[in-house]
Amino acid sequence: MPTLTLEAPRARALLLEKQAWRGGRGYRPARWLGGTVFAAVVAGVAVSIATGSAQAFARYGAGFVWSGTYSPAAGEYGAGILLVGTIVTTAVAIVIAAPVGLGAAVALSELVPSKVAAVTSALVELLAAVPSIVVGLWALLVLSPLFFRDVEPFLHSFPVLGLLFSGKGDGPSIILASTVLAVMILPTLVSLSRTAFRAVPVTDREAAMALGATRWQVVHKVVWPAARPGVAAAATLAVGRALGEAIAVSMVIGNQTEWPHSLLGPGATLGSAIVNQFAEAQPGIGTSSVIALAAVLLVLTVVVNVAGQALRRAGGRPEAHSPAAPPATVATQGVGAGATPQHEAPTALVAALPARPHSTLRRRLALGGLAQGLCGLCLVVAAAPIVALVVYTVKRAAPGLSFGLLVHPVTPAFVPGGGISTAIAGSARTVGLALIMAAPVGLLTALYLYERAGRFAGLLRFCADVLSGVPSIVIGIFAFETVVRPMHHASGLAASIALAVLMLPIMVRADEEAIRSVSVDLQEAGSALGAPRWRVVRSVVLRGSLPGLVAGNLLALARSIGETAPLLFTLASPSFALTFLIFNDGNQPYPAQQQLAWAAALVLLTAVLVLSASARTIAWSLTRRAR
Amino acid sequence: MMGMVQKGRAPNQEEVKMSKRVVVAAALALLVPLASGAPVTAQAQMVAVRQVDGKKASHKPKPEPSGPVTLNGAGANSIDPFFEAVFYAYHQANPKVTVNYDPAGSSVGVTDIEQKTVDFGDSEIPMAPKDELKAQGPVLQVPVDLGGVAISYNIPGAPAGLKLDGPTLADIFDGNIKNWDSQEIAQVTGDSSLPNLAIVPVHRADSSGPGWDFDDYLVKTAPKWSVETGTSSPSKVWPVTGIGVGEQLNSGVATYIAQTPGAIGYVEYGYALKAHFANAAIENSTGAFVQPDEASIAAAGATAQNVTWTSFSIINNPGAATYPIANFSWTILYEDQANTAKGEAMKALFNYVVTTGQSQAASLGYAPLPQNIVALAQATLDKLKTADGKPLS
Repeated sequence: MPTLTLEAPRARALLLEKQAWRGGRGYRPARWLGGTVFAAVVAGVAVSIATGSAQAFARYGAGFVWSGTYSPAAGEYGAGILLVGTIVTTAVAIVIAAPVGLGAAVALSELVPSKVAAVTSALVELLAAVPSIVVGLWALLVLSPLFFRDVEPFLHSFPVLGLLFSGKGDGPSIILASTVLAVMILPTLVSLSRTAFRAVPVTDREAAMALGATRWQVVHKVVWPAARPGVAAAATLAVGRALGEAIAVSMVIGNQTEWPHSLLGPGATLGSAIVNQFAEAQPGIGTSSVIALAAVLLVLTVVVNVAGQALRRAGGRPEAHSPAAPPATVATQGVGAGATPQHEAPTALVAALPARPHSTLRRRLALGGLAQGLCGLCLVVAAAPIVALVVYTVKRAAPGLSFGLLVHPVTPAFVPGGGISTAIAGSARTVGLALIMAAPVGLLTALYLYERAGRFAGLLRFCADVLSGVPSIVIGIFAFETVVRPMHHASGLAASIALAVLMLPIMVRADEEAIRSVSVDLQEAGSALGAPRWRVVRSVVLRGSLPGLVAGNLLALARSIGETAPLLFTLASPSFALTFLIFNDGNQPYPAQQQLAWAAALVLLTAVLVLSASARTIAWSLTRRAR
Repeated sequence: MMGMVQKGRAPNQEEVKMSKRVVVAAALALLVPLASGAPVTAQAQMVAVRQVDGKKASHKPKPEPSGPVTLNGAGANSIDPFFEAVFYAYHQANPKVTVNYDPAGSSVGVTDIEQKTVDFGDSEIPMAPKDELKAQGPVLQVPVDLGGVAISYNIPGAPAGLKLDGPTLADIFDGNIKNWDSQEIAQVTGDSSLPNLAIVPVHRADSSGPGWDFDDYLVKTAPKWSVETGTSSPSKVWPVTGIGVGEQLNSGVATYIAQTPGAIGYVEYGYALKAHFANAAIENSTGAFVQPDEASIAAAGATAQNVTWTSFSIINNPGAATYPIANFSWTILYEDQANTAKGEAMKALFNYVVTTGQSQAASLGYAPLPQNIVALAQATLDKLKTADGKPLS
């Protein structure tokens, strides 16, 4: 064995090369393989939905998309009513959520003291992780009776606006579904909008302040124009999420396939119809038509989501700003923004400032105070429902919660002594297996994206955008068609595969972000010392980004453990997952079963919040270290 | 400089292994989703749902299920409380047999059997001959329980057992009668004290056995129902759209009734009993008004003569004590059981369900099967065969 004391450059180079290939040989193929698997998964989802829906589209043609006939009894199908129902429900949700979310984001970013804002923002981001099945349970058992008794009669009696709310509300309705969707998307909306506001450089604000603008004018004339693309991206992504939500909507919309005529009336969406009909659809044209509904939904959400992602990326770049944006907003320069030399006061602001500031100062201050007050109110309104939901869950679950409940297996209704351990173990197993499948693919794909530019990388990035827009109910259909049907068995494996597919885009994005945060200088130092690329990646890049990688994977885990829709079609029994158990038992009219559902909801909520809180803590300590 | 390289190298040796592990893990991740049906998946599945795949057992003829057997079923939601209780008791007595049942609805029981994604299906309404043709082999249908469909309502202050007949129910469910204080209702019930409260008819959003039963009753007793729905043959899909609220499964309908004053809907009696609902007394073929309970449902079951899975309806059958909306629930099995161990386990299980298991029926809101139906069930189970055509033991 040659030793380094020989100081023979050639021998040393040979040695290094030998070491380099030991174990390093697999790096490039593995990276490529990871990317290829990822692309194959996306293609697999697309192909399975396309082939599954082929029969329906062959029979009805493109007219399927807008046909108003939907009658499983008669064997006639069309997506028109459901498509309109989906769009109406989402539109109303965004009308409710957007102003509130925007106001709350302004309050968080501009008005509230920074320490309070930091805590509140962290809270809002945690709330974004609340599983939709828990929101659905709360909506079904708490909101629905409340809407029936108070809210719907009130809306009906409202002057002018009451025209939208004709007829009598029966509890479940379009407006209830939209409200539930609004509650669900608010945290996302607030969090992403706040990021957009925060990306506007402090110097812009200072310049405006120096010209005598009030605090509110700074927000209105400087921050808002600059942040608008980012806010648009946030809204678009929120719309994407609302369009694809199936389970919670099916629990509260009233499930009537008819053209929406009043917001108080029941309705149906593409997602809710799939929940109700996929499992029982007759093989052949029936199943194919339900998959065709999924195809319509898929196209809709993917288009919206890809647009949102594009907007989000563009929002970071100054050249993509709308003309109204101040010329010198260089958000991408981040820390170095203060050094921007050509800083000018935004022209819009100068024009807006009155000639005699003093005479109107009182008015401007009053107006600003009013607006600020409204934003603060928005913050409260945005946080209230979901905080209420968490508090209510704890309150309902706590009395029945015991150690026995956690360790005893699920028993039939009315057999005392049952618990939820079967569901806890089932969820852990399903999600664990999904993590094992998805994590390597996600990491290797992220490495590919980091190391390589070019067409394949572009394709992978597009795949990540597409996949992150695919509703989970569609992934459930994919898993049923590709695993359950050929294997002739509902199985935890099928459920895990579905969850793994859901995790992938989150992982790819988070992993890449973590990897990109590693200093290029360190990598160059490694290369300068003669280390081959794979070794730099391993010892510098991966090691440096490890906390970030862990955080990203934890987030993916938190999201997937709260998923219900993909499990409906893949697990053999509702007692094999917490979310499925909540879906099944929460809708039972018996107090004991509902108690079990609330207990499961609390356990799930705790798991999700702990996972995302750990992820946030890791990410937060990272940014602190970086500073 | 040299020192840094040395320092950096030491951990690298270990990490060579780590990177190998990453590659291996990636390869595994590749294999698992790609190979469906391969041994890898079977193994992973075992880990995932703690079940033993009996594929191997079919190769060697084994007389008794020596290893644990997991049976997966799906279907009727109406039978779920009964099935769960009986399967649980059976598992207590035979720990090697675990039964998973997904109560997703009768139609799911039928389609899952057609696609062979379950070991057994169950439907409140037997699988139709045209659907049998879509199955992957001849099927057997076994009557396993006797239940009734309650018309339950939530009217604060009103007594249980409001008298309702077919034509009035038809008017309620197609939206012609909108309020509980209406003249028509007062005439039938003989109770003019019902409150001024809007009626909310609630029906199933999915297709259902109780929906079929209730539709069948309305078709047979309210002439205008067929005219308004445009069909004289009952269907599992609720025939009226745009009136009232649709909820998923018995549980969804029951939850809605429980929390909505003014609501009326059709639910399996077992659910109505346990939820302590007020149920209507329904007019039967003799003109008597009968509430659902064990006795009146049993009376309906006793009228069943020459029942087969193609001639199964006991809706609106004769008898003064007969509850008019009752039905048997049917478990659907493949006649040829490729997996002998599973086949034998299922035969034993369902023999238990139709005999010993019936003792659980009454307390859960069902009636025990009459003797002739038990005999029918057992005779049908005896037709189960192994893959090579021999009867199962």
